[in-house]
Amino acid sequence: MAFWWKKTPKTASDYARLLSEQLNKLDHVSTIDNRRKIQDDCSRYLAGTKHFLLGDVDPEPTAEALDELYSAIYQLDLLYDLLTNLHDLEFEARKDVALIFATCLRHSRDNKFVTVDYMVTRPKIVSLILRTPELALSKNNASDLFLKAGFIILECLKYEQLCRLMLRDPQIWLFFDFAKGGSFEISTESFQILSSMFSVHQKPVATEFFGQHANLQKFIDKVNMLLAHGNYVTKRQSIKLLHSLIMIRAYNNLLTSYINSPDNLKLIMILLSDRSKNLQMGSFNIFKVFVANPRKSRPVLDIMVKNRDKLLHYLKSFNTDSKDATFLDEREYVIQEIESLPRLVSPNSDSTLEVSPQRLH
Amino acid sequence: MIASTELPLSVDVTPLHAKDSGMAHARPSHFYEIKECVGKGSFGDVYRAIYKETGEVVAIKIINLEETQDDIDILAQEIYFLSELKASFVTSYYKTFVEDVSMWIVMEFCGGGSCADLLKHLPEHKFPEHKVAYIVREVLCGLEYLHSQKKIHRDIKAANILVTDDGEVKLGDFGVSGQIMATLKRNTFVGTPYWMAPEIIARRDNGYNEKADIWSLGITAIELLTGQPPYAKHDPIKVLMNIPLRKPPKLQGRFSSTARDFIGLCLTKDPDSRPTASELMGHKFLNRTTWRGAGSLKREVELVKILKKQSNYFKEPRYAVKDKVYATGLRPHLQTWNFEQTLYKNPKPLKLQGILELKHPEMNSAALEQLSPKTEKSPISAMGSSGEASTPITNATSPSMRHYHNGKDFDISMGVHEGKAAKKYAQQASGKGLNYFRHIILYSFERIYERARSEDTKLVVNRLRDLYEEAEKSQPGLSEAFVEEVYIRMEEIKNYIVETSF
Repeated sequence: MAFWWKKTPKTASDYARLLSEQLNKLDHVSTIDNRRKIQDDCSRYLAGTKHFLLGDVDPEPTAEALDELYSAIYQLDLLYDLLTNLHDLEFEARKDVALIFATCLRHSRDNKFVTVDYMVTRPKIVSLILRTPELALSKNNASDLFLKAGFIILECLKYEQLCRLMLRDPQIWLFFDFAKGGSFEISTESFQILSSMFSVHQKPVATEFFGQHANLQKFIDKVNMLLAHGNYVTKRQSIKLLHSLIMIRAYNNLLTSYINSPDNLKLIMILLSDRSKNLQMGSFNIFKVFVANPRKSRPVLDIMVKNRDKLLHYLKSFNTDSKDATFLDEREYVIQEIESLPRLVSPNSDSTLEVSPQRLH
Repeated sequence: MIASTELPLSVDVTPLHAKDSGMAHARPSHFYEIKECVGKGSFGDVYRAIYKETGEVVAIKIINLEETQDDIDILAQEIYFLSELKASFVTSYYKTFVEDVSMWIVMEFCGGGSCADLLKHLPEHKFPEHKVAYIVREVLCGLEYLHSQKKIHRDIKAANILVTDDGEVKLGDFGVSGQIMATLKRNTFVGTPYWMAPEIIARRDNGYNEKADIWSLGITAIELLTGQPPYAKHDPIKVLMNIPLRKPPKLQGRFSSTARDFIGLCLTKDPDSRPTASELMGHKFLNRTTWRGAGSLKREVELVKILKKQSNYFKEPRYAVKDKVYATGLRPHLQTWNFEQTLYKNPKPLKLQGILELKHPEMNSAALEQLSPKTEKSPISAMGSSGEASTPITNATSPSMRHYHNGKDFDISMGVHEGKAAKKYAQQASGKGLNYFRHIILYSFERIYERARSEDTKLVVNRLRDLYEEAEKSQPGLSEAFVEEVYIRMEEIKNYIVETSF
């Protein structure tokens, strides 16, 4: 079955060609033994391709040989085939796929990222890259597959052109769901993807993404969903994500939308009084922005006024052991601002009782 | 055991407990039974544990995320690092869970402890040369694997070389490992002074590479042969400063020339001329491992187990597993807020289910107008539809969230509205179990007490409550009649408001 040249590819591009052939066979293989054999071949050719790309071979490949390899990769649509078959590859081979992607993306000629330019002309690859984590979830080694696919996405996000393509794909919303519902690996990786997606290339995010009101609102809804329903780690990660993004100057409209909604304030106040010190601190950093806002919306102001005394009581004993000067200043400022709020006068002000904090049953 | 010097074929055999089957949401403590603490790692305590379903023994490293200074993202990177390693001479990683505020990292269990444990408990406190050759060879296999993946261990020492119950050697504790590719991180200072390579301490501009592990392996070989690393008696800071200045340490004492030569090669000061793991693999010293006789530490492991038992040896964990931040039955929040609208008129309570269970009881039409269109769309109400009532947040605004200073005066649990208790309360309220005095009158008094602004008022409320209690005692059923009357009257008033407002 095996031809002599199958085992010893002569040139770098032979590896790509053979790999492509084997990958295409993986789809319609019938017996387990055959499949195993093809997987082995794939692993071997993948390792070979990787060594060539990294220059890990003796003698080092010439620039021409490398160019030839890259054009073979593009011509054969190898990156696409690697993704479609990722779940069918062996453990070590999957690592090689991720590394090959990263290396290809980094490849530049005459100050141009050749692979990036190529991928921009093949949107189906970028779309498949974004869909791969979702497809991974139904497979056996979901976490491992997800991490590999996530790694490839993170590598793509380093390049503005690819980031802009991804921002246009509705698939990105799913990463909020993965962040909430997945295993530890899937959840944390989704956060890293979201964080890179929205903070690395700020200009396109600000104009092309948050520039659309629907995106803005959906983003806030999704983050709130994580803040409210996530487990402890998800909450910590999402509060950090939210804080880092609203602090980005270019995303001013995100900040304004967020701090003008009373529902958001409620959520942040609930987290402010969470039992976890880390969550308290995380939400304080957002709460202080609500307080510092010189033009608070009426409903936001109402909530603060209504909780004036409770907030003062809480904040005065909040994180008192902290020695962080910035934090202490900020806390002092927040307390002063809240103290300057009007005291609530209850409807029957002659009453000695406070207004019931709860509806009648 | 015969250790293969080749990289093992990757085997995708996932242990049952490592499967991704819907366990993501489950609490690990349901699946694992935590036994004794077996070590304190760089990040947290390590326990022996049993996977209940199969009885399989695993090691679980528990990291308290409230206490650790490390960023969750960094810890996640470490987990990804672990999950990329699959080789027989490296401890396997299975899965990570989140429980309460801790991370549970489930790993392969090495029942023999670490080589440092063995050194400590073995009567002679050192290993003979052929055993050291065996350990070193296995570690080299692990390093060869790691380095081929462009990864550095960065903390090779006897304490991080683990031994299974069968006496097989595995590389463990990758808590501080860094990938070669992550150049930024590579400039960080990690490791333990005595085992540290000079180039790490000198922190030359180009950082360091996988050769640092080879130096540490040389120091570890000395540690295994003599019981401690060179300069162990000196102050670690001084040692740290001296390693780059001095000549490399030498193996002192009566040892074979092959052992001396091997260690000499590992302790080559210039990392570029220091041999790689693969190059060292062929060294004569490693041939001292006679194929079967010395090929395991099984006897040592068994001996040390007996010795430990005799001396009642145990490790004290740094954090108690039982310490929970969100213990069940306790209020999940420290402070409660008032999120309701104050002006009542409209009788129809706006139903906002979901995370906040916002109580918007009754409000005037203006307030309603202002609120309802927004809240329909609001993220908070939108989330309600997904039916996620079991999250801690849901309880956040439950009525019992207020401070009751002298709760002991009242025998009604303040947790009545939370979780199971809420159901119980509802059942009681709907059925025979309802005690009008206890569940309604006394409950209301508690709340009024809480609302009282001054001590004076509180006093009056307490007196009234006592009087009421007396009245109920002398006239049983009084409470029921009273509650009934109040209820009927309220209904009438509410209906009246409805009629007039529409």
